Formats: sequence, C-alpha cells, structure tokens
Amino acid sequence: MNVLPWISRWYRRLIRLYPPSFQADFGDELAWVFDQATEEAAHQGNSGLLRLCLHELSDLPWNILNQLWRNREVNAMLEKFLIGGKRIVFYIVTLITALIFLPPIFGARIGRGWRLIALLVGWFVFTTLAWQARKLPIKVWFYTGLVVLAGLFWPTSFLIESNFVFQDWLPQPYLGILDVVIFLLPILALIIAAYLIYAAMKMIREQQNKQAVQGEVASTRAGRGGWTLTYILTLSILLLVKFYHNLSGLIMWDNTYDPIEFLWLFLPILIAILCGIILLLNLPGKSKLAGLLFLLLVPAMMFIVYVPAVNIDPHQVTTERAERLSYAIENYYQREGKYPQTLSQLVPRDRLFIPVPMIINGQSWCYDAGLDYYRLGYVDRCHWSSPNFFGTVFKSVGDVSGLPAVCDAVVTAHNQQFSRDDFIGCK
Amino acid sequence: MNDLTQPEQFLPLTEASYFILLSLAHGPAHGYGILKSVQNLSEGRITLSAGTLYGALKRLLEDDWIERLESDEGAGGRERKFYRLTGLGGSILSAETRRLQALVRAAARLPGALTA
Repeated sequence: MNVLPWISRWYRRLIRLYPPSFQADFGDELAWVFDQATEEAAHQGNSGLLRLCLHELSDLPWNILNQLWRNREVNAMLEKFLIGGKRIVFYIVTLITALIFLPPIFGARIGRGWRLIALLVGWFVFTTLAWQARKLPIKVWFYTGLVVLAGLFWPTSFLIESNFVFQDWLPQPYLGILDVVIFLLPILALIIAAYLIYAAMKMIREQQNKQAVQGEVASTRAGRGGWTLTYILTLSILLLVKFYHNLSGLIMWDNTYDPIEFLWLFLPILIAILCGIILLLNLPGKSKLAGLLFLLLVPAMMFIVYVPAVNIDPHQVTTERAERLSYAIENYYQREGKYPQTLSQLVPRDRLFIPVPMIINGQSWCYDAGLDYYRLGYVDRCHWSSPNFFGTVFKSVGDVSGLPAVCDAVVTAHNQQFSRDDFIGCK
Repeated sequence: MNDLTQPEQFLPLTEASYFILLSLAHGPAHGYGILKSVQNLSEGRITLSAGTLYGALKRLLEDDWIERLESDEGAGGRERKFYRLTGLGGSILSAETRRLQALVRAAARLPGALTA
C-alpha cells in the first residue's frame, strides 16, 4: 500500500492550522517540500518515513504557535492597542504591580469610578512612554542625567509644609511645586539610571560583536567607546547613590511632621520594578541579568536605606549638627579673636556648608554674637503635632545677660498665630 | 530601515539562520534545495523540518536578509519559488563568518581548548 498520498493529504490538513496569511504565502511550497522529503525518505523504507513524519509532527506545534504569535493580522491588531509582542508581558506585570502598589500611595483619594479609571489610564500612558523612552538616544539620557544629578543636590530640607511660619520666603503655589519637584527628582534619577544601564549593556554587546568580527582594529576603536561606557556607568551609579541619599533625607525630614513612613517606598519601588522589567525584557542574552539585578537589588536597597532613616530621632540629629557648628564657631574664635557675626562667615574655611536644625522644615539656627559672646539655638517643639513652639539654647558663651530669649522673635510670631493652651500632649 | 553598514548588530545568528544564509551563498535555491543544503553543510547535524524551514524563510524575508524570486515550474507542474541573499543578508553572513573565525582563532591559541 502506498501511504505517501495519504501522508501528503494529512499534512495539507495540518497546514490549515497555520495563520491564513502564512498559508497563502507558503502553504503550497510547504506541501511541495514535504512531499519531496517524504518521497526521498520512502527510499529508506518505512523507518525513514516514520522518522521524517515524527520529526515534522514534533516541530509542528511550535511552528504553528510561532507563526500565530508573529502573525501580521494578529500583531497589527495588538499593535493598535500597544500590546504587541513582549509588551503584553510588560503590561500584565506592570498592571499587577500597579494594582498592588498604587492604592496605598493614593489611598482614599483614588476612591472608585472615574478617579480610579483616570489613574489606570494615566499609568498605562506612563508605562507606554517609559517603554518607548528606552529608544531615545543615549546623549539625551546622559545630559538629562547630569541635570537631574545636579538637581538632586538641592537640599532635602526644602521639602516643606506650606503656610509655615518659616517659609514665607516663597509664596504659594510655588511651595507645592517645589515639594513635587523635590519628591519626583529622585524617582526621575532612578528611571534615568535604569536607561543608562540599558544603553551601557547594549554598547557592551555591540562592542563584543564588533571586536569578534573586526578583530584588533575594532579593539582600538573600542578604547574610545570604553571611555563613553565608563562615563555612562559612572553617571548611572552616581544617580543611584544620590537617589538613595535623597530618599533617606526625605524619610528623615518626613519624620519632623506627620510622617507617612513606609509609603515613601511605594512609588520608587513601583518605578524600580517597572524599569527592571523593561531592562529584563529588552536586554539581549546574558545582559538580562542586569535587568534582574536592577529589579531585585534596587528595591532591596530601598528597604536597607529606609530602616535607619525612619528610626532617626530629629532632636538627636539637631544636637549633633549644633555640636559641629559650635566647634566650628570656636575654631573661628581661636583664629580671628572674635566670634563670627553670622554663621555664613564660617563658610567655606570652617564648614563647607551650614547644616540646618531638623525639628521643623525650612528653619535655620537662631544665632547671635558679639565680640566676646555667642548664642546658638533653634526653634523647638516637643512633638511634630504640637502647635506650641519654644526656643532651645544649645550653647551660650560669654555674658548674655540682658539679651532677649533665643529665637524670641520667631517663636513669639508663631505662637501668637498658632499656639493653643488647650493642646493636649507634650508642652 | 536596516543599516547595511552595521551588520554586527544582528549577530550572533542562530545555527539554522546561519546555515540557511550559507546555503544561499552560491546562488538562489528553492525550499527543498535549501533543506538538503543545510543538511549537507552541517554534515547531517541539522535537519530542518519543512515547517521550521518556512518559518525561518518568512522571518528572513521580512527582515530583508533574503528575497524571493519569480517562480518556475518544477516536477509535476508545481510552482517552485527560489530564494536568494540580499546585500544585507550577504553582509550579515560575512560578518557572522568572521565572528566565528575569530572564535576559532581564539580557541586555537589555547591548545587545551580543542582537546578538553
């Protein structure tokens, strides 16, 4: 019995499982090549024919799935919804992480209905932009990274509560914008660090290929590329280090007024996961490991930074800073024979910068000095929830009798406006 | 648009892609010709199924590494379609060959690598 026509007929039926466009383009050729192969295998007897059919059948499910996945019509439809290829995985994972992380960030403000929909649409738009942003030229990321790094040096102590007595130097709405910028800059740094790593990994891969193909000529050229790579990776590391430093600062300053504690971590962790997934899905070969490390280590480091920062006592930090400042003032006195009239006179010889007290956002030291005396103090309160302020003298040297109490003017002004005798709590 | 001056960006190739491109290096061939050629060039190590071959050919066509020529009539009056390398496909094949040669040269410098 000649089984070849029967096998050929069955193979044609199986070809119908391929997407229509593939059948139209290659169906006849596929059937012809298979027929040729079966005819040749038949010369080797039934075992040869069986081996060929099993080989073809074992490959068939994968080939069909592969063609369905790459199918132009299906992909075109998915592309319309921006969920083609790897992006499906990306959106599913980011949506799941967003559902875990976003509600705690926005809490009751999300509510239900249009706000929730707006949040999800916003997140979808943001993740789409983040996905596409990796294609931006490396120069864009590098120079933006430099600007953001410079911005990260803006003191975290400027993250301030609006309408506070010490913050009359900048009117609303600029204070609110400033808060947002100071909060978002570290997150932007995180994103840029991830894209710099992405670009660096791609560069390493291209250099390896070039060196393999062109040999020594390429390795000389790679010297220049090596420096670029060093700049990129260095900037990426600096951004990450400063991100952690600022995050720690934000958490510490947050302790000084109605702290939100671990909620600080939710958005940065969500962004780190997002960036890690983008790296993991898009980096080739073993460089995917960089994406995996970013995904795991960056959030883990956030917890490591968070724990000491959240447990820090602002009063203790203020005392330590006052101690350093007082040491610098006395150094100045030893050298100049008089006390500095303002603390700024200590900069830069005795102090590179003047640290600030950490009791209230936006405050500075209360300092007054004459030729042979000085007083260093700060506005204090026993707890962030207390509306009652008082001046604390850290150090007083020389004859200060007859002088008004330290921080008197600021404390009086504030207490006239906000102080409450009926406040229940510490005094 | 593919950058003809940078064929390295497409490397490394899968073994199947490399042998398909290699089988077209000496001129156009039809599907069955490529199938047999891959088998011969790889000394029987790689036997592509018809489905795998056409999946790969479709991808190579989409990437402009190969092109399909006008049909001719083969045995039994059936149409046979021929494929040939494009300029891009040729430069990728050369680049991959040079890459593999570099790997072999590197291994040859260490005698143990070939005997381990």
